[in-house]
Amino acid sequence: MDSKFITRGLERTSLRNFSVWVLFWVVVLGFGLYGAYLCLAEGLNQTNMDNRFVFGLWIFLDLAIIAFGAGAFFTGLLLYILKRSEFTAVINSAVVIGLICYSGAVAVLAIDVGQPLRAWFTFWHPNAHSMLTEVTFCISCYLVVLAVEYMPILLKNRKLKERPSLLVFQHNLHKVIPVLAAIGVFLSFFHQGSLGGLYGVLKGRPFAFREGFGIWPSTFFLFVLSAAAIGPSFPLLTTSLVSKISRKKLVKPEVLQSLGRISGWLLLAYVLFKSVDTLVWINRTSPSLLFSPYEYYNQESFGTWILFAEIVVFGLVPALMLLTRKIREHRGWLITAGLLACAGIAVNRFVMTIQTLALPTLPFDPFLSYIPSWQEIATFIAVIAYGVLLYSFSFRYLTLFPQERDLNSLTR
Amino acid sequence: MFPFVYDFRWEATSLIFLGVFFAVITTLMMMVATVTVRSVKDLRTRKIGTLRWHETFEDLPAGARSCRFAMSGFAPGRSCDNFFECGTCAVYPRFRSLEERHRPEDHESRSGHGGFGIDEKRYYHRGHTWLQEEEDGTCVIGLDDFAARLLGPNPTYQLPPAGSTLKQHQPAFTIQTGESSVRVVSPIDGEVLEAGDSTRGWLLRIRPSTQLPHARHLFRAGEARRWFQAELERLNRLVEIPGVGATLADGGTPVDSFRETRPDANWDGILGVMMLDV
Repeated sequence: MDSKFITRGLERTSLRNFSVWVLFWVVVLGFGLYGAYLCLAEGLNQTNMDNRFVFGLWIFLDLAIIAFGAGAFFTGLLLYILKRSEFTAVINSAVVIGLICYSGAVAVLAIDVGQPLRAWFTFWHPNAHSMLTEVTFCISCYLVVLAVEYMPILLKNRKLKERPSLLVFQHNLHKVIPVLAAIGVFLSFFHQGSLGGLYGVLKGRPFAFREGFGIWPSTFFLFVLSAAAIGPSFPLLTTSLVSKISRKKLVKPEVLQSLGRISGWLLLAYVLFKSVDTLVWINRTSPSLLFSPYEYYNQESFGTWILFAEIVVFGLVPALMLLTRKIREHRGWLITAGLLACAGIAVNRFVMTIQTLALPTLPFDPFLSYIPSWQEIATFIAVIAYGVLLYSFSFRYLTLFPQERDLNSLTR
Repeated sequence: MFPFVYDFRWEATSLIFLGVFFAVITTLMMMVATVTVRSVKDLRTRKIGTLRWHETFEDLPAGARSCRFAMSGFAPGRSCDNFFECGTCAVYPRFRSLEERHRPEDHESRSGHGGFGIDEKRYYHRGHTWLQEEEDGTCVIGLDDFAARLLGPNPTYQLPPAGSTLKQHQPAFTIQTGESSVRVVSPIDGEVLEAGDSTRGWLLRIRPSTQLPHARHLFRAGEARRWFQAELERLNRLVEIPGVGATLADGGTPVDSFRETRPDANWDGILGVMMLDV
């Protein structure tokens, strides 16, 4: 029934199957939106955050999905600036994922600030000395960039491109995409970094505080590098997942292997810098603030295992896997390595938010534990449902993988 | 944010930060404005047909964009990046002279046609139309044998009236078959003189704007045979059974209607991909 809207030469599941899939996620989204509504209508008392534990699940979600969304800027950098044309195969999908990640993050932030109608204050009265101001400006601008980057993909829909005005607009917009990609790289570099810098400047939180270069603590650079490192890994994972669900070959294996290799090198560089940074922090930064680093890992929940997991299990191991050709050529291992790399960045963002706030900083401070309320979890789930829905519609009605037509037959 | 806003600070950090922010915003706004102005201009200058062809070309699967010299073996794996405009292609003269030097018999070759009817007097376009020059200087346009077998029995045609202008690579007429509708692109620029039908053996009589020997983008019989073979391989890949892969025919001639061999395939998609209407 909707076949006239589906790109010619692509085979998609029946409308009935698609409707069932969409209905399921709409129900999940509805549940999530109800949780979000409670937080907005009743106030942040619906959450388990308080004046001491101000960053919870939502900020962890924001940091993680903004890092995952780095695939859009990094793939754009590889394709439009470094002229790696093989990544044309994944750029559309990366842009859609970037848009989902950033719009999801902004939506959650709007709930997290508690008074979204006053969010414009941060633009009208900016504090140029605040990392958070820089993050706010860059993320807002980059969301606009991603929305503009999404437009040519959307306007290429089979029905929409029949309209001459939309076709011409799309054609001309596509010509300026490299400029948009360059702006995206610039903005991403700064907001990914500032998100890290946000924690690095917390002198009152010696677990997170870091020395650095100029006004930027080392976490600024580590966040940029880690986001760039999983920039190629996350599209690798999502492409594999969509391929599995849709039972279609979406890109040539060489493209995924190439993404894996780039991710491997960047991850290795990140692990190296992260290790050096950790050593400097253990031996110099933390002692200078009169904190023995071992105190941080005396708490039951957060032993040294978490540091080991972050750097070795989810850092060094996937980096070495991605740099080994034989492992890259094995689809299962390639996906496992990508998954480990993404999990590593999620662990890092978790450590920077939750562990930082949980640890005591004064002698009379207790160890704080935090379990998110169901409303917080529901809001988290709403973002995932929103992402699945937007991606599902984009995958069905737009051309996200140009190689798909060359790799699949048109039989049912 | 602005000097007139309470708490604005005239300090370097603020000015640099806001300066960069406004530069980004201005660049974004200027880009969208430029794109809008260009689009309005393109619409007014009626470039829409050319743009549509360029967009269609970009959307074609890589297999449909093979360079003609890739098919002849002189440029293996090469894809066209010039919208099938061989007349303005930078590499055309070099490969053409190579071809004529090393394989002059190709134009006459009759081998490898795979059972498709090919007429030596006709010129073939990659949208599966042919063009034949008449003695009075006009040309007739028809669908090639491959397209006829793709469309199956009893397609209906929506042909343009006499006096219409045709543009090379732009939709000339529409064919309806089953639930599918496909736009067929014109092989050449010209003016429609008369509409025919399948019983007359041609669909349109036109007055061409270009002399046919100068229409470099069209295939002569020898090239058309190789191209038909490549098209058949492409079609085989489109209808292959998942998990089985492409199978090799052990002889015989193509059936009259390809649809009948795989009725469960997505023929709307196949028609679009094979006839350059994606």
